[in-house]
Amino acid sequence: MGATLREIIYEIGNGIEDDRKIKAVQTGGPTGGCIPEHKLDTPVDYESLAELGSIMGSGGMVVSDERASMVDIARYFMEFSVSESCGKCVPCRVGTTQMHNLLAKIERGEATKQDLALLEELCEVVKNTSLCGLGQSAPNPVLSTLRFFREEYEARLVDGKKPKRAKKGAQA
Amino acid sequence: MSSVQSVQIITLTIDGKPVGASSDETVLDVAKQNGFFIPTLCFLEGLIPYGACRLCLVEVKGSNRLLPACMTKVAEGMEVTTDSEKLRSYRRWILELLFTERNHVCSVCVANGFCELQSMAEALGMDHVRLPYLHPQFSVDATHDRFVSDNNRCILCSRCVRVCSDIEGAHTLDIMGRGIHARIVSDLDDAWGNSPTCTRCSKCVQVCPTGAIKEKGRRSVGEKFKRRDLIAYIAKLRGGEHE
Amino acid sequence: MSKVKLATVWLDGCSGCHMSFLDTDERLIALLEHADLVYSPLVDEKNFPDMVDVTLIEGSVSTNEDVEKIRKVRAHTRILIALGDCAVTGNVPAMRNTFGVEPTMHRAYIEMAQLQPQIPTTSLPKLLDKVVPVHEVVAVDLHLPGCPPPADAIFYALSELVNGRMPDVKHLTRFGK
Repeated sequence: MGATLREIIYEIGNGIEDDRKIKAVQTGGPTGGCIPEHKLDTPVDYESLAELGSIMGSGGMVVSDERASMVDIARYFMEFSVSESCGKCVPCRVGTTQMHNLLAKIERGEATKQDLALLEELCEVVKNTSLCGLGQSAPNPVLSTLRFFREEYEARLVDGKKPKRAKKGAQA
Repeated sequence: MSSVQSVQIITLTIDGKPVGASSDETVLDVAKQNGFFIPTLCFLEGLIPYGACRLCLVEVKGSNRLLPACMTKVAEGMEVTTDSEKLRSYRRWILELLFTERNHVCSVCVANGFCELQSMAEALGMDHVRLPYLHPQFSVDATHDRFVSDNNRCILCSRCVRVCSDIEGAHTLDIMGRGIHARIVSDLDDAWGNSPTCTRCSKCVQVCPTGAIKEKGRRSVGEKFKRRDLIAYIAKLRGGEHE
Repeated sequence: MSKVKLATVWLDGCSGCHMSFLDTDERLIALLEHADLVYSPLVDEKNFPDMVDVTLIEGSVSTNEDVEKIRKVRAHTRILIALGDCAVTGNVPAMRNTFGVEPTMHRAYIEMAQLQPQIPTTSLPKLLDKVVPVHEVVAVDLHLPGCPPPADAIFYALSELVNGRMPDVKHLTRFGK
């Protein structure tokens, strides 16, 4: 409690294999949010994590290096919520499945801007109308990756912005 | 727990209008008495509230979450908002999710014209769904000599389960599986026709909001007329002893 | 004032929506004082015109031919209306989505065939894996659900449109009406 994410990863966890760069840390279990590298000096406490759209949750952490696809990570965690939903309330039961399908569509490179807009709207619906904490926090991985890694989503859209490639030799 | 609790008369406001209520009532009860429309699907007068469809969510000042009107007791000074841009959007979304979940083909359904899902779509102006239909495959149980259960048309409101267990006392029907795979089954997922517990009372047929549970016989498209009000009558006769 | 160019298109549907359109009866004559029916299964024109003001689409998108047709229609239409439950929801044609193309074809052309059971391979457009409503393929400006939408709802929508207003038909029709 109070230690920064960086301290936990590098000092307690001994850093990343092969000295790869950290891309994001997912905290609090499958319905937590993804925190990007530039926020690693955030102390681990309830308020600071909540401010970044994540949660303390189980206290668990999943650290991804630069090779990870954030859309894939969001889809992976959504798969968890789909199978954990009890099915009592409508937004969680159907909403998690529909969010998962939209994420898979984005991942396959078949989605449009409109699909992304629907996904964002659906996240808000599921978060605010679900009966229990599972549904209310299920959209967290999507919302936080959209907040910090939006360009990764957009790059995969049929009609989205393609990322600019760095020119060869441009790096000093 | 049948001790007499002191019921107080309180005042609250609904959409800015001051209304009186007794403290054991829910927001939905009071809203209805005063002519406010709050959409509901899983709620049915006479059954224990379930809070699952989320259509009746309302805004209550001071609460950081939306609350289901069917399960929220009124309180002194409460300020309730039953209609806002946000609530309308959420309610429309919930209906869209329900329509995409199963195979709701109104034009060939026995409940066409008597379906609460269909009329709710009309009432809330939901004229198309924006997400793809899931088109799941559910089998139809027509083994019972009087009734048919078709999970393709089910919205999992659990009215049939509640009426079967709480009013009839048979508890033949229940929900099996979880999440998107949840479905209505009879007994331990056996054929309904072989059920040793079903009393053939047909209350489940009467309370089903859609065409998911229907009566056999001369019933074709749009011929499933229902008496959903009967349950409230039965519950009243028993003096609310199921509560 | 020049007349509004009106078209109707028939995809995977039973033509019931077109019948309901014709059920506007003598009101059609009044309507055609303000509009020309430039393309439709009801008239002779074979090619979709360059630009149409209002196009009514009956039926769901079920084959590759439907996809081609609807894209072309969208590109040449100002206001596109999904007419009826098939166009709006997929309705009856989409009931095959639960089973898949292969079993559906087998059921129709092998199991049910009385003579020479065989699955056709030529002359018929290829079925899509899933039947979809029109708005999943192209943008739709107005949804008019109903099976079929009542003649009154169609007439009201069209008479508003020919007068340059966007109609609100939500309380005139519903799914399955």
